[in-house]
Amino acid sequence: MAGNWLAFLNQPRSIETERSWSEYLGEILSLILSKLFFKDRNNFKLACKSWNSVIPNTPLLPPAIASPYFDSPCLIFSQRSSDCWKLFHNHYYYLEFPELKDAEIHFSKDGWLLMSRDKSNLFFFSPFTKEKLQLPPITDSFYSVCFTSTPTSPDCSVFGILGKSTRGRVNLGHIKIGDEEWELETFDNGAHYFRFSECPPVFCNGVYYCFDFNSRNFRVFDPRKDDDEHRWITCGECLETSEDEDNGIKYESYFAEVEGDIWGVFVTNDDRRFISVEKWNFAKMCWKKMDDLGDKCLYVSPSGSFAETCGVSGMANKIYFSKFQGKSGIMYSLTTRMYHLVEGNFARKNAFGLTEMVHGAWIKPTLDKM
Amino acid sequence: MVTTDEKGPLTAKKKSVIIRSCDGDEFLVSESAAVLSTSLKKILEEKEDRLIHLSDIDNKTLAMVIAYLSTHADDGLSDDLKRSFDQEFVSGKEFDVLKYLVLATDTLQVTCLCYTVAKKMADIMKNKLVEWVRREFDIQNDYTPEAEAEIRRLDAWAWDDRQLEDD
Repeated sequence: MAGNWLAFLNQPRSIETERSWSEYLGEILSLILSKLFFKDRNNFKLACKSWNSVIPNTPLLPPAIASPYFDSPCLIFSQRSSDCWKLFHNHYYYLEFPELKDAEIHFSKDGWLLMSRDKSNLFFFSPFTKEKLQLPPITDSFYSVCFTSTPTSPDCSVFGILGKSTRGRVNLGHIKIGDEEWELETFDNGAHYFRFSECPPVFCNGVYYCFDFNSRNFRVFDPRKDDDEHRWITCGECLETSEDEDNGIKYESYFAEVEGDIWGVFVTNDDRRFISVEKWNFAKMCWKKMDDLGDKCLYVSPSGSFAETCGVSGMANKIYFSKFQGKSGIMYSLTTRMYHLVEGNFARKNAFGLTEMVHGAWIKPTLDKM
Repeated sequence: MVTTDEKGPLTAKKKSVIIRSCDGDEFLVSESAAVLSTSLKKILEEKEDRLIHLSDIDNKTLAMVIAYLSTHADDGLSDDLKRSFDQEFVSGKEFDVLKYLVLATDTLQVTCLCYTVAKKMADIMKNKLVEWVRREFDIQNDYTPEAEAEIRRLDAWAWDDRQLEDD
């Protein structure tokens, strides 16, 4: 038997002699290639010329949308010390976007970033296709801004609160994609002290919700209405915030539109120990605490937040923050009520020592661009 | 319930085929398993002969493919069990073995297994040096040093600070 084995090993295998890996195994190589990304993809390209030719002439970052690796969003943020941008998806990937020099991210949705270079220069950018769409110049900079859908779609609009707004008067800017000029409007913000949350406005059921800094009341901008009274709706103080006792200072707030509802993620206590997810009750005008997220998980960042339905088990009921422990991503499990490393053993109740990527945004490649 | 289960192992008389590897070993395989390979299915449709000779698949690789086909043809196993079998099947296998497997599954057109094996190969290739890739696939580097340097320069963004492996 041992002799047979040796003979077996030594004999030339016809399969290998007839078909060489450097030549025409294109289909198998394409299959393997479809599972490789970034650096590993470049290694593939470097192996030899014929392997290079297997690589399709697609954009720089072509993560196959069907791949399980990119079913989940990645966090993109600027590496301030250089012109590099980092993409985090279990590992770091370094991307060079010379066109994004000195630019910052304001909002992220549907695989697109809304960015600005200086005050008046706003543009959309897709890091996956490197597509850039310029918006007309605007005289003032935005305090917070959002957009409604993929900027390649005709019904996409951009809406935001301008930086020159005061507590008494609010200045808004909005534009429909394709229009040549911004529409600027000013509204009376009511006599009360009202400070807007730094979170981007939330577009939900056709109107924009702009929360105040403690998330207890809000203003609604309804672009479909013509008269001032109905276009800018002032909503009174919502006293009953939630049933939560630990209703202290909200150190972090995030809002996301989830299937026609607005979800808020509130982080209280200075060690970020208490995290609650609450659903806005439109009828009662108050937040209602959610016990769990069902099959959803949340991706939250100061530049926009969204929910994903989890196809992969183990991902649901978690909040993915734009926070890091060293080089590892951090998520918060609503089941364990603890922070965990995305990969690896780590669990703790508070967020001490975690680095927050305040200029980062979660982004997910979407089908229509790939 | 008085229905008889025609698929039961004792009641059904299963047809079998003999598959011979390039090194002459013969394997007895149920036809229901063999037809999961699109290539074998075509061969069986075209000829009466129940002996199939595969001139480019060695016995070790063929044995693995047949184990896969037989498991997937077993109606007694749940889909969950088959899925965990697939995971077990590729785990711990050497890269060399996977190379033969992916070629064999390509030849035999066992799409599902081909996909699983290719994914496993890609997993192993992650974080490896290009030299490792060339060595494992027995590839001659046909780039000039200048051309290689140019590709590295253009794709400089892709080389991050992760430790590359060459084992």
